Amino acid sequence: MKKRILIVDDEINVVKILKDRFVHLEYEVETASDGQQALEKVADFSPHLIILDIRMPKISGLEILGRVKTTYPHIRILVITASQKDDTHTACMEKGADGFILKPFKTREIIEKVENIIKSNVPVNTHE
Amino acid sequence: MKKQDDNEAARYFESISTDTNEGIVVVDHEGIILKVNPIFAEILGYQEHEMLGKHFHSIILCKKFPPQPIISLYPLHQFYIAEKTSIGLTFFNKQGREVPVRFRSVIMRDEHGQVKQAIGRVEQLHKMTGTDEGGVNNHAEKMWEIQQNFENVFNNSADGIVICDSSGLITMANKAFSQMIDYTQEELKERHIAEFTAYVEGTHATTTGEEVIIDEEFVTFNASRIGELNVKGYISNWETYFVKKNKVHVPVEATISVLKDKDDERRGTVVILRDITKRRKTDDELMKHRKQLEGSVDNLQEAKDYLENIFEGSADSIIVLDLSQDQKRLVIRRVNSAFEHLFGYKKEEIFGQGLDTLISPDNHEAKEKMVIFQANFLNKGETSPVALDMIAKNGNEISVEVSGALIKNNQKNTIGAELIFRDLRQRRKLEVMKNEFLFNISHELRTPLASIKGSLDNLLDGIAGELNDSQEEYLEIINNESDRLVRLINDLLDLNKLEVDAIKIIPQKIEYISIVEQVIQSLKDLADNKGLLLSIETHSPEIYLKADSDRVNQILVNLICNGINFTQQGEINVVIEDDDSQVVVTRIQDTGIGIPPDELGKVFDKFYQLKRKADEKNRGTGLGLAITKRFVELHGGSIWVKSSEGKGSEFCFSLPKGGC
Repeated sequence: MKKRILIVDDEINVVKILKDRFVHLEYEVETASDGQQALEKVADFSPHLIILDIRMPKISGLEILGRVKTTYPHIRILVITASQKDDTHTACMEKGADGFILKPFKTREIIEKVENIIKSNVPVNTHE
Repeated sequence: MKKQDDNEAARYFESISTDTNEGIVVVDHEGIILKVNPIFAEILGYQEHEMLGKHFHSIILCKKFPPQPIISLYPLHQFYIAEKTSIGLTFFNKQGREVPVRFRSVIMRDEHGQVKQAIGRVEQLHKMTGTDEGGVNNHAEKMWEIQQNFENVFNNSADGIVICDSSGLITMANKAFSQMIDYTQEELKERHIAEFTAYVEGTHATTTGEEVIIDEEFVTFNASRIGELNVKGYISNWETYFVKKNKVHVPVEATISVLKDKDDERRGTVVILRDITKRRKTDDELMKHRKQLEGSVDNLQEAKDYLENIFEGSADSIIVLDLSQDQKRLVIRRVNSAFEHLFGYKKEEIFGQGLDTLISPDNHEAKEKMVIFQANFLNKGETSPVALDMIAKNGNEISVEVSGALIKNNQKNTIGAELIFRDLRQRRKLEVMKNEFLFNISHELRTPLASIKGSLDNLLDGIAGELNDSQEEYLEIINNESDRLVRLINDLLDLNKLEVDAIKIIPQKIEYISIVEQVIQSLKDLADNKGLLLSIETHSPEIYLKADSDRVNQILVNLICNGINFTQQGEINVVIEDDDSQVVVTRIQDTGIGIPPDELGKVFDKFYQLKRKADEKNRGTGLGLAITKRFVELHGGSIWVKSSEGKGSEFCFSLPKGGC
C-alpha cells in the first residue's frame, strides 16, 4: 500500500518540486497552498505524513501543526521552513513536530527523514 | 715694625700737642692713658702725670651720661664701628664739675688692622670762670647739643634735606639730596629749588626703568600742592618727581614745611625728599604680578566654564563621586543634566548618596555587579565598560553601560571617581531591529533558494529525464554556487548572533571521540571525491569534555572542510592529544597549499579570504574561521594555526575537559 504524503507550502515551486520527487518515489501525494486548504485535505486525504511550511498566509503552519497533532496524533509532521529563528524551531518541537528541516533543503535529506519517520512507529523527534 | 709705628704716633702726638689750643689724649687699645698734653690736663683740672696710666674712662667719667657717648674711646674694641667721631659731650673735671667739650677721636691700627691706639682731641666749649656759670653753661650746652643733633641728622640722613630761603633759593642741601639728583652740594647753592622739580612736559625716563609722562595736568596738580603749602604751612607725603642732571626723573615723596621766625615771618622752607625708586619698582612688580594673577584667574574661569559646558552638555550621564572616609565607598558629589534627565533625580536629591541608590534592591545580579565593578575600579583603576541594569527615581529599569575614570590628587592618591552612564535602550532597540531585519532577509533569500536547490536536485537525480554530461556539469556549477549562497546566509546570521552575544553555549559533559568520528564519517564522501585520506589519530578510547556538542560539531566541520578545500592531494589528519592537562588539544593537519607567513595573522579575521585559491566548488564565505574562533573562545579554549607554504597547515584548538 502506498504511503500518503500531504505537502503544504504557499510556495508553489517548492510544492511542485517535492510532489514530483515523491511521486517519482511512488508515494501518493496531495498538495495544499494555504492553511485552510491543508486542514480540508487532512480530513479528506488522511495522510500518513505532512510536509509543512511554517510561514504561510491566513493560518500559519504552527497553528496547523497544533490542530493536526491534537485531532490526529498519529499523523507525522515534518516541518520545512526558511526561518532561522531559534524560537521557531523550539515552538515546532513543543507542538509535536516529528522533524525539522531548514530551507533550502537537500532533497536527499528530506527523503531520508520522511522514510525514517514513516518507518518508525514511535514518534521521531529529531531535527536537521 | 711696632717700634716704628710707636715712633710715628709719638711724632704725630708731638707735632699736634704743643701748637694747639685743643686738649689731646692718647690711649692704648685698652683705654689706658699713654700721653696727654698740658691743655687736656688743664681742661680737666689735673696735673699731666696724675693722668698717665689711668683709665681714660675713670678720668672723664660723667655720671650724667652713660659711657656710650664716648664709645669712640672706650671700650676700644668697638672702635671699628666709628673710625672717626666728632661729638659734643660733657666730661667731669677733677672737682666733679661738668665740662662741655667737643670731642673728636681717631683710631690707629697696626698692619693687621688691629686697634692699637686712639687719639682724642678735646675742645672746651665754654671756658668756666669762677663758680657762678652753671646756668649759662647749661643753656649754651643745650643749644650746642641741638645744633649738633641737627647737623648729625642733616648730614647723615638717608633722605634728601634741602633748606631754602623765603624766595625758594637753596641755602643748604645735604649729601643725600645732592647724590639723589647728581649735583654737588656746591652746585646746588643759591639755585632755585623749582629748577630741580619736574616741569618739562613730555615723556621722561625714570630711575624705576618705567617712563613718566609730564603733562599740563601733572604740572597744574603740582602747582596746587605748592598752593596748599602756602595755606597750611606744610605738605606731607607728596609724591612727585625731581630731576637728575641727566634729566632722568626720580620719584620722590616730599614733606615740606615752612620755617617762620618768632614774629611769624616766613624765613624759608625745609624740604625733605625720600627717593621712592625702590618702592615704585616693588609696586610695579606687585602690579605686574597682580595683573598676571588676574589673568590666571580669568584663564582658570574660562577653563572652568569650558569644562562645565562639556560636563553639562554631554549626552551621556556623568556623575562625579568622592571617596568616602573609609576609602571603600563612592559618594555622589556632582551630576550633569543628562543624568537628571535619565534617572529623574534633581541634582540636590542625589548629592551625598551612594551608587546603591541607583540599583534596585531586588536586582541581586546588578547589585553584585556594581559591588564588583566598584571594587575593581577602586583597586585596579579598571575602567572597561560594564553593562548594568540600574533604576530611575520612578522605579523604571534603565540599561546602561558604565565606564569611568579615577580622580587623583597631586600626590597620586585616589580621591574620587567619575562615572559615565550610557543609555543602552536606544542601542538595544536598534539591535533588535537589526536582528529582525537579518532574520527577515535570511528568510526571503532562503525561500527562492529552496526552489532553486530542489529543482537542481530533481534535475540531477534524473526526475525530469536523463541529462548529458555537459548539462550535468552546468547544473553542478549552479548547485555549488547556490550552496555557497546558503553558507553565506548561515554564517552571516551566526556571526551576528555571536556579536550581540546572542549565542549561548550550553556546556554539558560530552564524549569527544565519538563526536569526532561522526564528523569524519559525515565528511568522508567529500574527502573521497578528491581522493584525500581523512583519518583520526588518538590514544584515548574516550575523552569527556565540558562543551556544547552542536558547537563542537560545527568547529570540527569548519576546520576539516577547510582542510579538504585547500588540499589537492594527500591527507587530512585529525590528531587528538589527551595528556594530564586540563584541556584537550585537537590538531587538524592537512598536506595542502599552506598559508603564506604574512597572512597567518589574518586568517581568523572576519571576511578575510586568503589569496590562495581554494576549490571553486567549495569557496568559503570568509566567515568560517572567525566564527570557529568565537565558538572555541566561548568554551574558554583557544585556537591557533601553524603553516608551511606548499607543505600544509595545522589548525589547533583546545577545549576544556569535563572531569569525571
